[in-house]
Amino acid sequence: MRHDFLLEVLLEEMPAPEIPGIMREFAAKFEQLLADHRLEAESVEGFATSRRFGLLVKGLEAEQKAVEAEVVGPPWKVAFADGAPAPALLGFLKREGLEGFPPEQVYRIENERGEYAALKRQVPARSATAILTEALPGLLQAVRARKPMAWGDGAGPYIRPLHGLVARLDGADLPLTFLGLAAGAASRSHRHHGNAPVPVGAPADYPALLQGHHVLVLPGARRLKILEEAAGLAASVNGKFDPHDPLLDEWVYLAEHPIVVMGRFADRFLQLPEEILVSALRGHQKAVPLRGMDGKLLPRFLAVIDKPPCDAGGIAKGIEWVVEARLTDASFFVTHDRAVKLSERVHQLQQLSYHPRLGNFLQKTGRIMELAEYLAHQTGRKEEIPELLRAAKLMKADLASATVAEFPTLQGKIGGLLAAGEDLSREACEAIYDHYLPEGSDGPYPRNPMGILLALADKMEAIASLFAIEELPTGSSDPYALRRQGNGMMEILIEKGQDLDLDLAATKALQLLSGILPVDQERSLAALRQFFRERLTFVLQRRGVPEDTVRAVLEVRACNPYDAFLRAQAIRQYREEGEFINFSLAFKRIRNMIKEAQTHEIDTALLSEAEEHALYEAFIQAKGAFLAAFTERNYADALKAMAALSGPLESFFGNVLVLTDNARIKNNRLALLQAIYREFLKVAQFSHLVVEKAQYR
Amino acid sequence: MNLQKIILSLSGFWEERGCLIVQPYDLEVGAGTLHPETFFRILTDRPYQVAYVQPSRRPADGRYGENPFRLMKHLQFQVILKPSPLEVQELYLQSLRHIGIDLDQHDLRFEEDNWEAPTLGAWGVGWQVLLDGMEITQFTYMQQAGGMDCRPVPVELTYGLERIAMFINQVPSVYDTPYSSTLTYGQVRLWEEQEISKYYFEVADVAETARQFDFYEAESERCLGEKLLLPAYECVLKLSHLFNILDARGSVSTTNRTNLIQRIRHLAFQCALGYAERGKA
Repeated sequence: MRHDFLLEVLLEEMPAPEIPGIMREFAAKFEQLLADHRLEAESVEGFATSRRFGLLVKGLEAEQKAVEAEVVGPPWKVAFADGAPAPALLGFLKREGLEGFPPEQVYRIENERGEYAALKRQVPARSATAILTEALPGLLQAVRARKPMAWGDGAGPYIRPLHGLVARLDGADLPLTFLGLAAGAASRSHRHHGNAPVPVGAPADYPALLQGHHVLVLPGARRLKILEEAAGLAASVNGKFDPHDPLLDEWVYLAEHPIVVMGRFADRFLQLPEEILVSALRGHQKAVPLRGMDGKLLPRFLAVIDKPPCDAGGIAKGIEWVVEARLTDASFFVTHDRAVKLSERVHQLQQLSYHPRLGNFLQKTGRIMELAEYLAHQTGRKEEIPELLRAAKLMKADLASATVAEFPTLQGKIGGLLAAGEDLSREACEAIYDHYLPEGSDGPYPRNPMGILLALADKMEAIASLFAIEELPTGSSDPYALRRQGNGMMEILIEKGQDLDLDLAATKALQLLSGILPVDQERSLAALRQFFRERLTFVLQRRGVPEDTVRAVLEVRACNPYDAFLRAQAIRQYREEGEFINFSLAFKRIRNMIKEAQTHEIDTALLSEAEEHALYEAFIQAKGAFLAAFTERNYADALKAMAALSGPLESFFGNVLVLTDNARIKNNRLALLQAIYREFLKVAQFSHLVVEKAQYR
Repeated sequence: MNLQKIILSLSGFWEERGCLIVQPYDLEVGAGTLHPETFFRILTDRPYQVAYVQPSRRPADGRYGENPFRLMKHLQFQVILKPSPLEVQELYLQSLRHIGIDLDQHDLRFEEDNWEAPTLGAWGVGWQVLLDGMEITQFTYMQQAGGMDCRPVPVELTYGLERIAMFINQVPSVYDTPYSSTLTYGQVRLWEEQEISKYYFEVADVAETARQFDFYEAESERCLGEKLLLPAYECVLKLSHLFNILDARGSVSTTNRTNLIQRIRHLAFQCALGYAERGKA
């Protein structure tokens, strides 16, 4: 027999961003519970709104599957005396409630402690009712919010104050108690539709029943409703709504019965910098600005309200009023900030602490300027230095602006916009605007070379200075987002094809700190090297480079991320080729062979066997082609030239004994292998590649 | 409904539900939570219900009376219910209906917004209440105060009175809000915003303010030594306000910020601990 089961937990409003996790975690724990108790169900579906979560289970078995279990008794040698059960066995049967168990069904097993008597017994099948009643309180308690809370006289801690519990197994209530509250059949209607008890009948009818009381319990249903309404409203003003808008997820969990409303704001606010307009709407109001088909902003926005069906026109007016207030406020900041030149704000950075031990933002700006100049030298952009330095000097000044104080996520962008009021090239303004980029793993990146230099200098300064005072990221804690900044550096260098020696740049960044605090250069540099290598490993893998390839390329040189990326790409391209695979295997063999040998020089006069001569000739030829391609950083061709040695190497190993008795011959052969090894190690430590011998076609 | 009617109406509503109605504290505070009727009362295990208006002074929020939404000093209506009743959300909604907000015509939501005052070792879990997208109330279940668990758990409702009055009257600037049937908010308070903003941002004597900070710190310690908790706490309120002035003057020297906050926090803790121990005795 099978049942349907419904569990609904009614609480006060939960934090929207946490709800999907709470819902999924609870459903997963429930499925685990079923598995642990050998209960099967046709389906388990989690649901949640802002103030309820739970499960709808269909086709739940009424009883566990019956199984036999082996029970181990006393040691075999004391279990029987003269073929009859001895007291040790009889006592054991009594303790297990198995008096009268047929002794001939007791058998001998051997485990790590010796020989024992054992028997098979039927494990009684328990009912789903019994199991759920017993296990669900623990399961409910195990679902946690990031900040659990207590309420009343000290009830909880729990996600939010608990108001009700519905537990229905088909038509009956499960006798469940949790946090002192007994489960009943009464769910609740929408807060703004009476917030009244709704008696639940059969579990399967629950979603439709609640819908009748203006609660859409399934997130999917709410998402669909939002998407349809948003698309319709957008279309009505020739605008478009992005169905992947990041606010959508939050909208789904902010409401029990979402209604999308459209509002408009005065055209004059379209003159605000778009960044500020968008940020004010999204950040504060959780409203999505609409764009026309040409991508330009319209004086319209969409917002979600949580109401039973109603005439939402009045509410839209109310939201418009609030939005208007917000935008007026934003205009105030913009006007205020435009009244003072950005360059006049630079000295205010003195007031702004970067870190108690690292001084203020003016000092930090000074370090970034020096680092940017250094990077310009390193990357061949010397002629841009004067303009670069003027941009670098202004790049943090927006932190002293009212707009950034109000919209912190617009840091950099505001600076870029305000810089337009300075005597600065467009490229320099864009560079300031972009210098916090990239924010995520797939860009966007700084638009121009100057922006790249500023972004790199800013991140390198932050990472190196915090490493110098040992504020390192540990485990899941990275309060200064150093990992994200490190990843950002790698992404920029790779994406923009920019060569840079991170070792040298980090050394420079550490030297710049020597004026304000004692720095253990060697120790900090070692930690930074390790950190950058980890970041590069992470970024390369995120870009699809296999772990073994990352290890192979970084082992020989990790300080130039773009170069490492090029080498990794070439290996990815070739690693499936038979010649390349065989070369890698031979390389591994060479490595093992020369591991303990001293270094020797090749003496061509000592080459004796034909295959030895052939390998030498092939090597000299391959080396020429290899080096030509290698210096051009055409690593694909370099690998091709190298892999051509796989045949000669195979013949060599097949026919020539390297470790011969003649020491001079042996050393000469080792010298040949060492030369090959040294040459190709310039690209990667090929012995790290996990490859299997290929069949020649 | 004008601002003073809203205040009278809310006071009446909570008075009828058993709250003691007290008056604003007569020292500068940044939030209604700092009123001793909240700060100390939530520390004991005795049930308590209280409501009051508290002008909240935040020097750095001053805008010379030029910004239609920002104020150097705004009015909070503060309610403390200890223990938090299970139906507190419904009570709160009733109070809104009581001051004339027709919830059927508006969208009201409880969105996560936790509260924390590190200087007081206090934090809570709660929401900002949004009315058609505007934050009108901070709703907090206090979890810890003075570094100690709150038992029973108090719930704190902080109504933003200007916001609510602006909303009810649908005026674009706080200064246009009717304060009474004849006077606007601007007529009553604009002058104060203009002059005191200027004072905090431009005129306040930094060196003397810093000296006063040192003085009130020593004074607070001395009172603690005499087991005079309330005077010691009044010094803490002075310290918080002096800190806010220094901050508005842009002269809380960078490294000093954490340091000043820690000094205030240390004293506030002592006051809270002393009171909690006295409650147990």
